[in-house]
Amino acid sequence: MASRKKVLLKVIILGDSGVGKTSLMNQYVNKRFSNQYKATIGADFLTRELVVDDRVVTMQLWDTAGQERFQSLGVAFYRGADCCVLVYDVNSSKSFEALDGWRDEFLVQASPHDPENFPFVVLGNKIDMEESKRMVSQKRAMTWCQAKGNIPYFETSAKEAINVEQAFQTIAKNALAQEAETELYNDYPDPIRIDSENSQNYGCNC
Amino acid sequence: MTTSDEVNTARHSTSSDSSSLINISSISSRQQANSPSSTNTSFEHVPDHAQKGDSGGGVNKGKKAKLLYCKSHVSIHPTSFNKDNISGYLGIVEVEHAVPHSLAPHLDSTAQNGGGRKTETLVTWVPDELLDRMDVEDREGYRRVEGRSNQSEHDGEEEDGFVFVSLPPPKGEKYAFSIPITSIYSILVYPPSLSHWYGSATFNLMGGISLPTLYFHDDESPLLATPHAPNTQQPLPRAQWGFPPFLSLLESRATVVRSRLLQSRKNMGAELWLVNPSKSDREVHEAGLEEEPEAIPPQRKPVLVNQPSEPPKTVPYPPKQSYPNTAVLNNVTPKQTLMTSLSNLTNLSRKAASQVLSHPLAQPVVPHLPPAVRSLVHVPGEWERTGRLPPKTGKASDVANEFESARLYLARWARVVAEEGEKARRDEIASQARLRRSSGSGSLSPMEDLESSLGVFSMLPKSYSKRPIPNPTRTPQHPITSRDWESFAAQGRDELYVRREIFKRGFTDSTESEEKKARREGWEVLLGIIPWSIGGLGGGELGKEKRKNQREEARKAKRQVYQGLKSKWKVEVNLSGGRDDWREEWHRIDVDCRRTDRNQSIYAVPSDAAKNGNHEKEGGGAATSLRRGSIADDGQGDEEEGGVAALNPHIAALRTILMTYHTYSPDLGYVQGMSDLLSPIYVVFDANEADSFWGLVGVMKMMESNFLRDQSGMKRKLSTLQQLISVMDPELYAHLERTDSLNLFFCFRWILISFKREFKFEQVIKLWEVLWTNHYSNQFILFVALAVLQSHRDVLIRYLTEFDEVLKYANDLSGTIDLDTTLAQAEVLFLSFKTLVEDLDKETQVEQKGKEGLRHRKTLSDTSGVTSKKEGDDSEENKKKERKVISEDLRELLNGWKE
Repeated sequence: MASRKKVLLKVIILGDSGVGKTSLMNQYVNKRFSNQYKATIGADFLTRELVVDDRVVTMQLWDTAGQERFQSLGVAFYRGADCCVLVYDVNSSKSFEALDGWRDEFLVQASPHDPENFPFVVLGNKIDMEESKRMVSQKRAMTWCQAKGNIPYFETSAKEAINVEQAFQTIAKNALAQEAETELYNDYPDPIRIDSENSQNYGCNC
Repeated sequence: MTTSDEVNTARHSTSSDSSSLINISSISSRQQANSPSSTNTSFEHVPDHAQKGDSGGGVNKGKKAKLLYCKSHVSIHPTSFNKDNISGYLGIVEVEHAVPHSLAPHLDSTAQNGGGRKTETLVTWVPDELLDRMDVEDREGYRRVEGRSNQSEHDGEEEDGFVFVSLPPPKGEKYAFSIPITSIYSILVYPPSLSHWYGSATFNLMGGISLPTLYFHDDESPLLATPHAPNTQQPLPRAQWGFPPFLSLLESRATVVRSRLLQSRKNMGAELWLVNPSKSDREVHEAGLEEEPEAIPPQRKPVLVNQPSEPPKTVPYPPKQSYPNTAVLNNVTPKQTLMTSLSNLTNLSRKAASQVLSHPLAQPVVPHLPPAVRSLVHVPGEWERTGRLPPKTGKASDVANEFESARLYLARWARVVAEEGEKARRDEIASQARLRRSSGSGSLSPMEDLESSLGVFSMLPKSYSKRPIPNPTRTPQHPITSRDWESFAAQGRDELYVRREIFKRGFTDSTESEEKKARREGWEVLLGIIPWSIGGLGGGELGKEKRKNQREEARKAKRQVYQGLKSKWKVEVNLSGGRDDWREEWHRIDVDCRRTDRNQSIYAVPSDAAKNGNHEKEGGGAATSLRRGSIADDGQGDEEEGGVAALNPHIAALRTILMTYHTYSPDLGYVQGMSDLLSPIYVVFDANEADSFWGLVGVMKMMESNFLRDQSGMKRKLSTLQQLISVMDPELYAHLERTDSLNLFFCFRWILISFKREFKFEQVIKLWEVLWTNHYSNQFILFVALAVLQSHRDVLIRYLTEFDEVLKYANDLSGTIDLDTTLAQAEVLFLSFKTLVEDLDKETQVEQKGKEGLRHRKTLSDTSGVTSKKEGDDSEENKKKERKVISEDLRELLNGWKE
């Protein structure tokens, strides 16, 4: 057990525009909330190292644009994903109702080898807002998650860092299990990115 | 370590391994005095195949235990996949046995044996699979007891006599266990919650190991679900969850104390129950500690740490180690792993950074670098050559651990170093120019000097053409003032001239209202709102007046049209609340406008709203208006939101403009990115809503294809850019191909919103007026993109090997690109490209003439873009003559503005 190889977990964050995907990702990785985020154009990612099941893993979180029009580009980003995080805003029914579409779209584009068992995690974000604004009840969200194969569900606030750490720990754990499955089924190329042994030598020739 | 090993580890992360099993019996022996051999092991994880030879259903017949409690649908989750869950029965049994004879009662429960009799209570878990192989009697027993305990938790036990059942064999079926409660140290419990569908319980044993976590699938248990909740789809947390009944029975057999160290709010409702705690444990756990809960990671299943089994002790086990979860953090090993990996990262960085910094270009820069970085530079040999001693300050790790990947980190440093080097060189040249000028010998302007040494040329591959590399013509240090602007019209200059001037110089940034007008009028021309020749050209003072009046009239007319467009949808909204698709679109627009350029003072949220702790900025107000099913719009303050969201009136204006555009251009609708395009226009048009609307219409005329539903426009542009790279920089092209980046998605944001996010607000304005002139090309932006790529090509090629690294690097360029240098480079690239095409065409013509009489060769298809045609076979000579073929898409790049 001395030298286990490093694992890169690829996680895709999806959901309607403005539900807080970028904020959640930044809260988890950079431990801060900013009200200066802009609508994400194209795609970006952040990485964080963490310990899951006694292993150090690197989680790569992919943040994409929320407007469905841009999803046809998604395939390049979805490939090789180990977990998909579906985010909605508890204060917007529309964003919740869109989860079905996001899930289906992901399964079509990423085409995981075992779609039935591909790990999803659902986050209901912005619970810091006043209760009177809430439009999606816990019960409703839970029912949906249960119907889709008992998807783990978290209610979060990226702004106030509620449940964010916990949610991503679960995400990492499920992603790690998926990564293991993937390796079992496909002989995927080595997932190492930061391993010094495997990186090429880029010495300059001068 | 092989892959399958890893998979196995991951799959069975919650199961124990055999080394820890011995521990159970040793604990048990400690409790029970005389210890028999390890064959008494009452719990073991045995692979499936090992069970196959096990006859008799794998149950010890005739050796029965009294079943006090049992509960079905308690599962073990070896992996995160439902299909792997193992459902089973959790039970509490009581056995009687003679003390000296055996400690494992299920093995040897000969109650009639002499000696002191002792009843022992055990906790068992039997998988369904095993139970199915038991006697009908046993199965019935389990079911009877479960049904009974369901109706009444406390008195059911005595009602119709005891139920005796068989227990699992010594070699338990997978994960099956039966352990004396005396060997349980604690139980970590997570009640069902929103995040954790199923409540769970983990038994931590005296030896510091944990049994696999048991998940209570209460919703699947028919016995539990029926009496309590008719709606079985909705498990009610806590109300019917299976652990409390178990606990109350356990409490009748042992002292169970809840630890106050775990604060449930911070630990996802986790509860820690101590079983028969020692006095000291009681003190610690009942007092509670503040810092303790923080140490417990919010992790669901306890992680088994492979630490060597501790020999049985007579002293109570230290409480801390019995937390299965804290072991992860308290144990040094993972921490060390983390540190090791960090230091590996640092080592790699050090190695490669020294390669970057030992580059000749970097040498003069090294002494100016921060100490932390300088320490990366030290490579024996390199310093000897330069005759300098390595500075010894700083820690590389301070720098290194801020970055995700070593290569990316290096690439960034290489970039900084190159930029610093470039800057140093420019400073040097500028100072030489000053010297020359002061001595009266310099006839060139400093800018010309500067530009001819911009480094643009050194970065261009030399093989475009035999002709000399063209010079850039831009002189941004001489921007167009209002006087200049007026003189263009007075002198009767045509639009082509005006556009070229704007391309070369841009407009002044002066904030004086007269000066601001020049840019505003210029943009009205570039965006097709007001024709250049309005009111005629020339004509002295009279002409000037005429132009002014007509311009104002034209504006008025446009504004009127806008008011009409706007009121059309507003009236409908007021009457019926608007169409459904409008409401959806309104929400999207609202969410985006609220986060567009918030760092610009004009769009800042009013400070009083911020002071009130109002956090409506993220779109909360939108949610409100959505719920009410209304489109709340007015330019001043948004009353519809009950005064809660103090909306900046300028953001409200952006919203209204975009909503009007949505109804004006329904096929396209609002698309993310449009608010980015609108925002600078609104600022340049002095916050005039109607004028800005027409500005947006003008921009969208040029950029509409970027926003098409099927993304065909963006795909085509990226494909054209790809072809352009292939022609202009084959080496970079090859590298992008190797790194799986040829789709150029990392340029997506650049192209979609014309570098809006890559430059500062003021710079964006300068860039856009250049782009909108369409002076050289209607798609000059692709040359700007190429220029950016080219100035980073060395770093890209040398350090970045993966698609994600390239993307990250490109995204991180935001805010670091120098506009004027990039535009100069883009111009040179365009001119070089033009020359290249002309040369190729000439060659083709010559060839065509030479081949007269031969069959006309077909031109290559567009889709293949650029291909290299080899003349003849693969000899070295012919390879050099590889010829580039220009696709139609590329040829279109040569089209610029036409009258």
